[in-house]
Amino acid sequence: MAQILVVDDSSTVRVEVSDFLKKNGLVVETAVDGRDGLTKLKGDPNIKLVVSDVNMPNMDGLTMAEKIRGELHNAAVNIVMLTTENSPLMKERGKAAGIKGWIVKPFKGDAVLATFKKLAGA
Amino acid sequence: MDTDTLSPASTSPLRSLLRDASLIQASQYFDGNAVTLSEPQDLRLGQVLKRYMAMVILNSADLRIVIKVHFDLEPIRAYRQSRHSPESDLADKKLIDFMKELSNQIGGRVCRAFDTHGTPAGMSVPLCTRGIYEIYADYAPKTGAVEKFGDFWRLDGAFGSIYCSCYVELLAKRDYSGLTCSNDDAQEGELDFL
Repeated sequence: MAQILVVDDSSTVRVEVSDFLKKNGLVVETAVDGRDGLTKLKGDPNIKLVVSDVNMPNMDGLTMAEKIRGELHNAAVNIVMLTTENSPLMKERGKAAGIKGWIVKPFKGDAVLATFKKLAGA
Repeated sequence: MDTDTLSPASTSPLRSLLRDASLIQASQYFDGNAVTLSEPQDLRLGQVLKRYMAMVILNSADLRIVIKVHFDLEPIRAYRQSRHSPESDLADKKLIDFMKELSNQIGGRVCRAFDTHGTPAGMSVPLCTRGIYEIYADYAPKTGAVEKFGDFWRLDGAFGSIYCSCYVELLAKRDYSGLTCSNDDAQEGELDFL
């Protein structure tokens, strides 16, 4: 029963982010792309925060966010994107999908930990 | 490789952008350690440079760019070991993923520069293959309706040495003179509420 779902096709990023969050007392699940992320989210109603990459194979992070709201009808889960890109067009699309925040990689855990805990209800 | 036939005005900012992006990103990616950029000695563009290469493709209506990062596993493994990475992160597959993510972040930095310049470009997911496939790469410069040029450089740091190469196809004439790669570290890693 996780609090945070980390979605990234890079195992390097998944391990870096999830290890940091686990060390800080959070329960973390990981997914390898948007499709996997949707499946994991469907299977665990305790997830309160999704931290996702944008650019991924099979299903990108923005499409996943849209499906979380549209297909899963899950308006409650908080979504934050963690990505190398910072395009205003992508952010607009993310905002329309109810994404809470946008982080440009690299992941700096200390800078976002308090906010992540709040968004995860921890 | 002779690229003098191409217009320096159109290619110089792009060359600088790609070199600067790789230099800044490599330094940041390898824990803020110093990285130096130099011209490869006794090597030719298109030659097999290392055993592996990670790459991303950037694409827009105006241009297409392939960015490659050429590397060997052992120096990267040694670097990760020196940073006390767990044994599980030192497997070949994990090291390849680590370098794919570097190419992804270099490409992302270039995309951010294009966004700032008002010429947005999309980016592929990164992939990695054997360095031997470099023999099939076509860096031959072109002029005319579609301009094309290639470039390569070496990066040295605590991780040993890696090479970066690129080829750029300019599908439309555009002024890239204002295109620069800023080191926007202050904003990176911070949560921007939407």
